[in-house]
Amino acid sequence: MAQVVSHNDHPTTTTGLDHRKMLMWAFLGSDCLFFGSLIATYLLYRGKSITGPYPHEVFNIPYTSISAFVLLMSSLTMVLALAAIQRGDQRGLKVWLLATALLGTIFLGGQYFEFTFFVEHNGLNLTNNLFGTTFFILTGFHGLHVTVGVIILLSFFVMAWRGRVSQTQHLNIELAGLYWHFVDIVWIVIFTVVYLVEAPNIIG
Amino acid sequence: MGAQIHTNKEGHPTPQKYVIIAAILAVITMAEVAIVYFNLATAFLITILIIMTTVKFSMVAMFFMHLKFDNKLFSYLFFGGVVLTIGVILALIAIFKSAGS
Repeated sequence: MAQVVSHNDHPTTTTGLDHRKMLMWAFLGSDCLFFGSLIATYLLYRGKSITGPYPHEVFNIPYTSISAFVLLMSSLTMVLALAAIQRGDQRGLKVWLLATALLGTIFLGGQYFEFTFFVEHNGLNLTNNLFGTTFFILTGFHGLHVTVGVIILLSFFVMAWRGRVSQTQHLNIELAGLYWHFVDIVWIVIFTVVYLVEAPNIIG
Repeated sequence: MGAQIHTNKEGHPTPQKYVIIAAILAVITMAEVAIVYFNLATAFLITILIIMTTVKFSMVAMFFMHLKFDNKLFSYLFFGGVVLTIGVILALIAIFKSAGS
């Protein structure tokens, strides 16, 4: 059978879809289950801690809102990076990739500060109550995903800086973008389920 | 089935539209934060929060992740996982409730 090669230099597949993109979507669909199980665990043990500190004593919703806003805006810069490489704008690609990595790093810095504050000022850690265990595991794994995303973005930035990301290779940036947007939508859920429902008017 | 790999940018929003979508997402986030400080019934607040979170989730998936413009198979793969996840969460909650009663 003659093999037809597309503009993206990959052989035509039986579905007409790129296998790497299919694999990324399958991975993201399965990663939903990973975070779903952690969110379910957090919800199941919500309000079951027999000793403090309790969520409403430690959460600073305005502070976390800024972190959520930063991560949300990083999704914009990510999609602008993809739009840039799709039109062959190398400078735009580098600027928006760096901006996305920077916003991701700001988010991680905010999470590090939050965790440190909880441990040092509120005495909350992984083992002193159910809230601490479920909270740190859930948000910690999300932070780990963000860290992996930042490493991927910086790797692509270095490759772009060296001129090794061409317009025809935009799928690589698209795949990195899909992962990054997924990290963002997971935080959209965590922000509501973990933080906003602990607001004074709701827990009261 | 077309020979072309579905990674082209046809039909994708323009950068200006991406900025508008991000602005809408930012406004919804501000509304989410603001609404929890209003003295409203808890059930109502939680319902509103779930709706706003779902809208934000869908907007990012549809526009930034391009599910609205890409092949439907990608949507099935992703939203299949999302539906399964919601099912797992509800099942776990139901199991724990019945075990505790």
